[in-house]
Amino acid sequence: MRLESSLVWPKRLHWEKYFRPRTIPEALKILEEFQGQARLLAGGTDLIPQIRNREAEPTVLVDITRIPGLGEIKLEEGVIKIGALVTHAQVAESSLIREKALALSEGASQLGSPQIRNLGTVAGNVVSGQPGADTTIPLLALDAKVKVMSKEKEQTIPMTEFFLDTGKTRVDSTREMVTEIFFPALAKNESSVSLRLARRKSLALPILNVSVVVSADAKQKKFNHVKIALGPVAPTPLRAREAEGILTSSPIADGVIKEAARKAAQEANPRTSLLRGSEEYRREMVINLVERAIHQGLERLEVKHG
Amino acid sequence: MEKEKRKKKVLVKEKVLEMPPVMEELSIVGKSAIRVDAYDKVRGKLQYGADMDYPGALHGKVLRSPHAHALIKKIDTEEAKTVPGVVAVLTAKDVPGRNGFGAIIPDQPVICGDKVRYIGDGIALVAAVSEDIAIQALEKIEVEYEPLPAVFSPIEAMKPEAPKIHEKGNLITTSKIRKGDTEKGFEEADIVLERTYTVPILEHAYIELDVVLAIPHPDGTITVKGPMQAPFTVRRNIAPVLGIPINKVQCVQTPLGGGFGGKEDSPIDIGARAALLAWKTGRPVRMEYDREEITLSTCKRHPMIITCKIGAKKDGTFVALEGTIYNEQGAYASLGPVIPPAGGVHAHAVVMLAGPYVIQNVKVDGFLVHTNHPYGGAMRGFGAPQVNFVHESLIDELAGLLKMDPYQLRMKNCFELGSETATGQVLDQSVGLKDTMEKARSEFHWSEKWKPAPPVKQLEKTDKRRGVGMAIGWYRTSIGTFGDGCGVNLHLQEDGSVLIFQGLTEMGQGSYTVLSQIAAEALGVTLEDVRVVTPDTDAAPESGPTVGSRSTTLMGNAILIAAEPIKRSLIESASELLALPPERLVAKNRIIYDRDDPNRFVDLKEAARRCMATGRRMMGQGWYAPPRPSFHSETGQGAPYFVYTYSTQMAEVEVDVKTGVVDVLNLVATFDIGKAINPIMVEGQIEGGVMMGLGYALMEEVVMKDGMIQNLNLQDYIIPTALDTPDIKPIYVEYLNVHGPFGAKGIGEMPNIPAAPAITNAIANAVGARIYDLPAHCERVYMAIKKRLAKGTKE
Amino acid sequence: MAKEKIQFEVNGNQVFLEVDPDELLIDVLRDHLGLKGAKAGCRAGECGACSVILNNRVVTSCLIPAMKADGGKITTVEGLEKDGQLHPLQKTFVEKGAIQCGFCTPGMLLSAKNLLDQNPTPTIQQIKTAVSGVLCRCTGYQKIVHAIYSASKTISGKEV
Repeated sequence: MRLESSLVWPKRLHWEKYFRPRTIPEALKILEEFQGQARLLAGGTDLIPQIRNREAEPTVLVDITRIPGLGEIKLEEGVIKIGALVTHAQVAESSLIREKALALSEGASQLGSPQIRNLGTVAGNVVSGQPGADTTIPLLALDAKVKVMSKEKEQTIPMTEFFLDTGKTRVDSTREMVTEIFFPALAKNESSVSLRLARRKSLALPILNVSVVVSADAKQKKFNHVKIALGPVAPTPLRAREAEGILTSSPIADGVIKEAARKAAQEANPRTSLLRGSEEYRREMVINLVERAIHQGLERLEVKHG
Repeated sequence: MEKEKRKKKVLVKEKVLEMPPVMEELSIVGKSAIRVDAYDKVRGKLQYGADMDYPGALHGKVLRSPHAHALIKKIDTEEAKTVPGVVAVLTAKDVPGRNGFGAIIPDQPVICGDKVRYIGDGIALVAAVSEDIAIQALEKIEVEYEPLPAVFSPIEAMKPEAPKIHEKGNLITTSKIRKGDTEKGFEEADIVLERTYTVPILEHAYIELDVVLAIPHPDGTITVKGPMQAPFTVRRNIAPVLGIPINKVQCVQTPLGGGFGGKEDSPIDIGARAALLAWKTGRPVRMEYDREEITLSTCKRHPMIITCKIGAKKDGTFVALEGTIYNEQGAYASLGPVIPPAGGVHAHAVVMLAGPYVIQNVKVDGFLVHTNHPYGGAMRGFGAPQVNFVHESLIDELAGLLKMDPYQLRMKNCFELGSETATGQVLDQSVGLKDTMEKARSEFHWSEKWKPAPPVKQLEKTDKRRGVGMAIGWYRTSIGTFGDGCGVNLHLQEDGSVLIFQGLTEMGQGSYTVLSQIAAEALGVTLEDVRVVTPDTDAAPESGPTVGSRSTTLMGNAILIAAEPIKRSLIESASELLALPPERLVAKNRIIYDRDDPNRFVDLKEAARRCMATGRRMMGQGWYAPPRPSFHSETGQGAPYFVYTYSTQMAEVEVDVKTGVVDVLNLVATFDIGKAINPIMVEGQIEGGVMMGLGYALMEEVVMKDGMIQNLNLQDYIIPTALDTPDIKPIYVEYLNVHGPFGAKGIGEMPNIPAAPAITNAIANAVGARIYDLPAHCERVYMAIKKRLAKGTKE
Repeated sequence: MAKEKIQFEVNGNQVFLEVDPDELLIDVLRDHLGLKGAKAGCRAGECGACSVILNNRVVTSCLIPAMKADGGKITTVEGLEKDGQLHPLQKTFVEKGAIQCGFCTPGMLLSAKNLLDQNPTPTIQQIKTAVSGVLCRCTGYQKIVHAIYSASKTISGKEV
């Protein structure tokens, strides 16, 4: 029974054991040993509140922050690799990410607060399975892939196949661990934008996050392709494929951008929420923000081309 | 020049009163002195309630109803009592005295016995050796409820078939204003505008959680310690609950981490419950409410549904105003009901609805109604923010219809010295409203910035639009009831240091500092020489609650009264030491000197020592109650409050037409505050209050569904952050209050009153679409714009 | 429950503790070490009143198990003053009227210190961002931002 429904909130939290493994196999071994009763802890910005609300009741915490090698942002052969322990603050401060994946930099800079960004990890944000998570959406637009390890195997799962339902991903948090998230760095003719809509300018859950990657030819007359990711507009984060299809190889014009934005709104399925807003409003925001993001993406390309 | 400014004329029935000119320059009053608790706060050393360590104290917890309205058929605590470490499990039958508390009417059960009236109502109390064990006990209490139909709207609750929440029925009070003849007034009007507005439930969101420590003593007394704005109110509630006389309950205030009116009421709740547990167990009990628990169960700002109609001539003169207020009290009375003659949130809202304007014909009907929602209590502004949003929005819209500059329309009708209010009160002194308007206009560059709202066509072209808006307001000083007095004991020590024993509390607004400044000025010592003793009902005289922007004015006056005999003693002693006549002596900055030859002086310390040696009186007592208010309930006529503070606020906003997001760019806020005792603190109150008003305008609301709050935590109940702050320019003018210390009147609440309509009027100016329901969050603004665009050229 | 031994550096001092594995850093600081400057305003990472600097990053201590901080370096508000001398930030907060109830003050000071340690000459917007994780209900933030700006000038040697 959820604690809130009995209207009691505890000050002290409870778990029985706290491990600090030094390697990934060690961490996975502990997870297996405790058969569903253990959870991984990195930033804790999702897990600790979940424990307080009794949404999660692990008896064992596995603190992976001592495992070396997981806290780096690397560029290797055109691929940007983000380790499991990389925090939002690191991403926001990274000039590499700013140059080669600006949408992710923007997404990571806008969530929570400085304190939350200093603690929370990108991997944790993705694994939370929230359909509007601030780093999930840009990573989805960047066609990122997630490396997941369990005791048996290592898999690489594309973000587009990663989410199953609100709060549920392909990762079983009691048995598996995300080790890295990677994506191709943006090409010279690609720009990216993340836009966020919320009711105040800090410490606010998003009404809508939109990320786009825009590729157009040098003379700016035609789109090559546009990738559009958004959420929360459905139980899982959305790539607006049909909207993207309208723009692929299309001449650049206000009308076609608007049409794509409208299509994205049709692909979205937001519901009326007491805290985030009505369905009508949320759908129109998809149109307006997708449109705005694409225009900004084009402006950024102009800047890039000089 | 200074002396000239201080000679303010006052009009009292053809007789002009002058404030006696102040002969000397003030030494500490009027200076931005560093607050007395600044160093402790900045070093992290100040002990707030939760920082008190009390080893061995039991932990108290409340079991709360999940039903908005239900009978309690059965409650079984037997199993809960068997949990090891549980010391007491109490139900209604265990209350020894009165099972009820409340700031005005004790209608809220300490422990509900027969029924619950809102989600969060307390139905059992547990004391255990740890909080964890107390929670385990709570989870073992079995309760059988019979849910009753609940009612969540004041209009529904007034219907005869509505479920009765209290025996006496759901309608608590009707309050009226009847002045002139509004029917005739509207006939004579060239233009009439009527609108309906709604304002939401708000949460104080003070950052410090409610906490209390209750310590029973072997001599049959009990101490209750914690953050509280009104220790005397807490005391008079706890005593009857325990069935003991008031003089056996001691309430001691710990420094508050914010109050805003919420901690006028919530300490009664947490205090009575902890005291009861302490009383029954014979052991100290500590209770701390969690953030969600505070949002769930403690008092809120009253939500209201207000219809208001205004009639004016085509030159803008107001001729009539009518209003109907449905004021939703929620489950319990708290600070809503009328305390005669004009205390309580409801009376105040009714009085304030017509705004600071001269209107011959006014008719207001206000209904205060119970529902099964969390209950309304005091929150900064006490009913004024709600009605101010209404009249300032209405008048702003009227200006648009009259094609008048909203500034000019207000200037034409607003109060000045000698004006008569909607209650027939003649404002006979201290009316600086027009000056605040002129100063705001100049500082804000209103004439350059204001232009009428854009036509629809322009709106369709742009992504971002800027606009400006203004609002004016007035606010009483103090509470408008007959019990509005406060007392102080002032003690001079023989080394020249001073103790102040009083019961008004420090919640950040700076009361200790300001009161110390007044005492220091009055006695001739420095600020460092004065110490305010922690408010303690065992040591301080009755002071009333720290509310209603009353502290500086009322307690300041009491201190001046208390200082007189001490000053006399000092001067007499100094006169003997200096061999000079007392009339020539001035006490200032730790010395007492000859007015005609300042080189002849004696240390104040010496004079104090001599007072002690000669057995002269070194203590003074002050009791101050403001001029008696009057307010006839049938007509709403009288003088409900004795002086008012005034404010004008002007805001510039940028609206993102595509999302409805509003950025407040800058805001000028001007005030007539009588006299600034501490200017930098006045600025602090202004800036903080304006931001609270910004929250009201743009983002704050307690969201309800079937009686349950949907946004209990601080992520979902959103208050402004540092990134939401505009440039705020605080300005004040001083129209001395004859009844105030050095001319002061209140400041604490005025700032957050006109802020919200200044912002929503600016939004209306930016996009030509008006918001009638707060908050004007992005969806509301966007939908208003959308509606306007849909009407298109049909406007 | 078996206690665990941990140690960390708090305000320049090595501290050795025995804690339950499920104790949070905020409670260890307040109850074991008597450092009450970090306040509990929500216990959910939403108000910033519990902020401390851990390993050169300002974080909300209510979200951090004490064991996670083992071996770390912590600064609390009590650690800002040195040998009875207030930190420039503390001085400007006092002088510029940036304190009212004071409950958010430790969180604000530490957020500001963390900013100035990384960026000694911030803009007003950067300052607002740096303190955007601490809620204040009293001051309206303006004087806090100005106090931080003023302190930054003092520290970086450029007098205002």
